Amino acid sequence: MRSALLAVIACLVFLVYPLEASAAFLRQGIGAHSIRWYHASPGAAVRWNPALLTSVQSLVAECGHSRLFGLPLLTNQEAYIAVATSAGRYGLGYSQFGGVPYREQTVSLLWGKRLLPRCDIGVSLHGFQLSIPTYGRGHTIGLDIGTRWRLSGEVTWDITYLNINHPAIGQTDDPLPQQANMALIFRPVPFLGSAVYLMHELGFAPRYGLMLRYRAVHWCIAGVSAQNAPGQLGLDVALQWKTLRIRYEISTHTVLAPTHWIRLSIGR
Amino acid sequence: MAGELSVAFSRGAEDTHTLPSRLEEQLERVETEAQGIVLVNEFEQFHTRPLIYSKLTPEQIENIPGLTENERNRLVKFRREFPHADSWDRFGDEFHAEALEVLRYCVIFHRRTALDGNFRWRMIPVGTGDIRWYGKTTLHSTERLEVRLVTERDPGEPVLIDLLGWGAEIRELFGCDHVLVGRIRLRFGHGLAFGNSLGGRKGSDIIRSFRPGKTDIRLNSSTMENAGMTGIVFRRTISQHTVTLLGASTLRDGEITGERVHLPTSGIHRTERSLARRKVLRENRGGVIYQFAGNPVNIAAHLSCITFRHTQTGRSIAPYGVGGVHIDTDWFSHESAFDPNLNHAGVTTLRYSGNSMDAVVAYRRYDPLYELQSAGGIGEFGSTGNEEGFYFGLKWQTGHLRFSAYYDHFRELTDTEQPPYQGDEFLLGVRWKIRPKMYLHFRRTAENKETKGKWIRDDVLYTGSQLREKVRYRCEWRYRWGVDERVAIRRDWIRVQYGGDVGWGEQMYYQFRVPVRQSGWIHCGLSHYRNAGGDAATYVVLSPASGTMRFIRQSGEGIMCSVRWRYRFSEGAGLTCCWIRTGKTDGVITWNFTLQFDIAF
Repeated sequence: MRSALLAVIACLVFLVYPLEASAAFLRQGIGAHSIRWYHASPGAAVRWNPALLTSVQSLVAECGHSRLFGLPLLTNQEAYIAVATSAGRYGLGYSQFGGVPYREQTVSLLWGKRLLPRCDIGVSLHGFQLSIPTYGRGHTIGLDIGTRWRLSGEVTWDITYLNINHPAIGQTDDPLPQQANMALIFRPVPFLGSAVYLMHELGFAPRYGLMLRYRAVHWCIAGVSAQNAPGQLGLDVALQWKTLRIRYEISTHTVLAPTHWIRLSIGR
Repeated sequence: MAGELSVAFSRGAEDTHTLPSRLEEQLERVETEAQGIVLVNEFEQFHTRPLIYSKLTPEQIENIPGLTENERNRLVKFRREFPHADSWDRFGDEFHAEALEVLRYCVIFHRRTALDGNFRWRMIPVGTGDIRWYGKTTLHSTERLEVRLVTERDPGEPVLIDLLGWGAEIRELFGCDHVLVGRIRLRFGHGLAFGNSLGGRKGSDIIRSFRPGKTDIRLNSSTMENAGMTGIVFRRTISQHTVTLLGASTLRDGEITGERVHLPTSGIHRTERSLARRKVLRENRGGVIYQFAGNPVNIAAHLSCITFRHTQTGRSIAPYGVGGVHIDTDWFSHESAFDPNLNHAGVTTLRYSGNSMDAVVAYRRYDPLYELQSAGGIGEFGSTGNEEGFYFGLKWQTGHLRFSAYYDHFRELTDTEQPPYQGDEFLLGVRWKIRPKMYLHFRRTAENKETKGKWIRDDVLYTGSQLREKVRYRCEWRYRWGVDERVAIRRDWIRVQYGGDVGWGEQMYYQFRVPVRQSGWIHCGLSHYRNAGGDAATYVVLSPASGTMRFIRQSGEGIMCSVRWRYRFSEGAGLTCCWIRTGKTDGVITWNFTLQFDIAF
């Protein structure tokens, strides 16, 4: 039954997940917002590519909250911290998704390093806990590997494998989704960038997306993104004051209410 | 350093007539290659040991292949005038684009750091959108260590990393010249080869297949390679003598029946059938190889002891040995191999190579019961039947004409209920060099294969004789600007080809390829096919790395078109896209798309 409930929730999340998502087990639709190139974000390193941790210059703390489609059950809270050391960048994070009837908790440990002049590499280790009061709890560990390649001065290429160790959870060993992500980021000028990305969860058709970001002034960045399967549109705006950044995003859905997402970070 | 795909050079039209004859021969070899990838050994050394610009000497410049004398002189001059240059970009106007490709590959500007290598990543959406992933990483460290990692996932496979190939090659360790650990590949075939575990394949130009001294063990460079093993290899060379020790323990798909081991295709090959692969059979192998590199005599011998054990049932078979010996001179070679029951297979060849003519005579014989359980693990081609045959090949060039031909008579040796087949195969090819860059090719092949007696197929008893005749012809006109080396990607050319199978069908085939600035190239192909019979021969098989296409059987009439585009982001980083669409007159349309990144670091 637990696996059945898990499957139902997985299907629900898969069908309706918006562009913005959490660091939940089912990292569907993590989408364009994580493909950062302006700010260091350990949260993006968890959701998209652990190699993004290399953009942390000293110390960054970040927290966020989101509510999917206005549904109280599908809320996400997360907090991260990342620090730069001579041995690479390290990060630690916690996120919680869901509510009392179904709850996912994830503790993440990240490491990233500029391995070569053209290559950043990152690894993240996640401890997953699934809690369904009626049926008990399950634990497992997932491993992500990501790289970021600088193909040229203007073009960056991300490739990430999520849950590469093929983790399974619960007494029935329900496999957690494995996913391969790819993004090609083109930033011809410092204030404008675009990205095309692909996310492929095994067993499902791949999804593609496109995003644009524009830095109008040094304290404001605005972006727009689109993704297929299901079709979604997203808008985001980020404001910065010194090292303090606040970011708000909204994404539409063809059937359900829009998703709102807010994130606060400090440091660089 | 540039990855393999980014290594693509061709010669400018104005320089073609000044090419060294040695390179010209290589170009010809690539140009006439009907299919597959041809690696040119002269460039391989620069892959792992590129030259350093700031330390270039005139002697080193002289040894860079593919440059004209004029370009070498220019390079010497620039080296003197710009000793601190850090990129080839500033020389973009001074060298022809193709010469720059060569220089980018062979010469780097800064000594490598402690770690460098290249990375290749490919995705192919198939059918319902399920994606085939492929990644290959090669790392080099201080020229003593090379590490290779290959990952692959086929559509439908339940896990992200369906197959993981890895290996490391360490030089000068434990008194050994080379130590290999990980997935390795054995290559015992030497000369001409027609079947189990012996040499290369019979092809359109058999003389090219002679590659003496290819007894080797090396790291698997791809999970696509068949019969890889997991183990460790020690190799040491003293003077002319090389000794290699091998130990491997490999999980394979297969079954043990009585005292025999059955390895299905999925057990030793990496194919689409790997979806059904089960790793239940453990093969343990220990072996030794001895090689003597003399002049003019080369000798190699190998002996392996093998055991198989079923990991689930616990069944195993007694250890057995397999081995072989090879002797090779400039004009003669012989190779023998023995299976566990001492059944023998052998190939003997005589060769002649003159200024304008090459000739080969070969006799091969595989005992009726000759069987090597893991033939693919010893040789690379283990699918042909046990047969006896006589082969004669000839290549003759006179003036602007070049003739190539072979005749092969074969007879199956078998102890099965099915009567043996026998037959002949014949090829005649003519190339007319109309102008320095314009060629006309004609090739005709014919095969007669006859089976007499009684045999059972699909539970039906057949009596009498079955004669299979096959005649193929091809006529081609080609105008070229240049040729890409190393990966045999032909570039800057136009080709129009007409061919078909007598009684089966025919096709027209147009191709052209042009450079797009200096950052890449675009290649287009268009083919129209029409088959008279239901069992016709038209094909579309894509090899995105080499850009080659081969045909598979397809009946009816239709059009196939393909577009390949290569973009270079920067020195050593590139993107290749390939799109193929096949449409038939009955409305059935299929398409194929491949995206590949490669980057050197």
